[in-house]
Amino acid sequence: MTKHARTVIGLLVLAAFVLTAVYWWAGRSWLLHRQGVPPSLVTILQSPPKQVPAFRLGDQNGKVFDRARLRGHWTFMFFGYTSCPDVCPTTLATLRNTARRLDQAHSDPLPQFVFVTVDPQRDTPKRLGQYVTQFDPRFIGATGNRDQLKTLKDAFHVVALREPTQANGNYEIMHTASLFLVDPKAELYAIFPPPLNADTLANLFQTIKRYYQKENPR
Amino acid sequence: MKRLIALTTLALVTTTAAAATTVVVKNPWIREAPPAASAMAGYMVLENSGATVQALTGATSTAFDDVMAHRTVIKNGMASMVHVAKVEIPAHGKLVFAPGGYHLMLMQPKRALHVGDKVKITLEFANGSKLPVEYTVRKTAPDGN
Repeated sequence: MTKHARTVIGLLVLAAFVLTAVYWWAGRSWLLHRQGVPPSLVTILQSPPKQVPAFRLGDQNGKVFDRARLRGHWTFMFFGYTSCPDVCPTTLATLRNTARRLDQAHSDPLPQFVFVTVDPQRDTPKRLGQYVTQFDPRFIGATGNRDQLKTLKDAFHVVALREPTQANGNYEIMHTASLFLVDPKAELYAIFPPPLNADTLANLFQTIKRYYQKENPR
Repeated sequence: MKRLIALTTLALVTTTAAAATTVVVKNPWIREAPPAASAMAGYMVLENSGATVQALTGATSTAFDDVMAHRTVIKNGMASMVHVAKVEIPAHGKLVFAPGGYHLMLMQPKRALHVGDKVKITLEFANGSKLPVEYTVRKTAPDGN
């Protein structure tokens, strides 16, 4: 094959790929637009929302944290660990500020904010509780056995990979840094990719609630 | 001859130790962490007023077991941290240490740090210069985030 022919084939493959991507993207946007989805929500809404499977974890107060606790509330969920120096405290601080913005906007009732550990070995319920409530006393920290955590992580396609233990005994965990929003029917409703911003989150949440009420009239 | 070498060495050592940096640090802060936290993060803006590139090569502090420059990398929605052995501050330029990016990883604080506390961390540069900086413990970044 000549060099020229290879270039042509390469370009054709690339063009096909780009066209498919554009077609998929345009099709999805058009579909969502037809359904009346506000443009700001097109990339973050799950279409259709997906029921969270049954799971059973515990919160910092020793109470069961399961799917029933998701029903009847909006719930923001983030997966992280308390030995994480940057992304997790940054996200929790952003969520604290989001909660504050929603308080100020009288967005009743306030959603639940749940921090699920990806490090059950070090994150005891007590440690999780001390950690999350420092950001906001209303925050919930959840942990449990590996199988139950796996059920929840898999449902959200959350990945957490433990890095090698360092000389000082510490280890880090590479993990999904997206924020998840579960609707009052316990369905995964939206995913917010990082980086996160409190003003944007508070505004998007209000837009989502309005859209949801329109789609799910009582 | 031996004396000459000794003198030259001494002169070199003195010069290196006294080497000044053209870097100044703005808005140094540490995010307040719950008492349960075993690691904290320090942020700042490094501004280089000099005509040559400066490189941050390390940091030390008596307030922590260990201090390392790290960078959070978010790829396909996954966050991981990489150790940064050396990071350059361009000539007449700046380098930002901010949440979700470059940060000083502060391992095992020796005592609980609360909002308003001041913590000294000494930054080390490739040219041998050292710069003591006082970090303020804050709940939120100076820009409010």
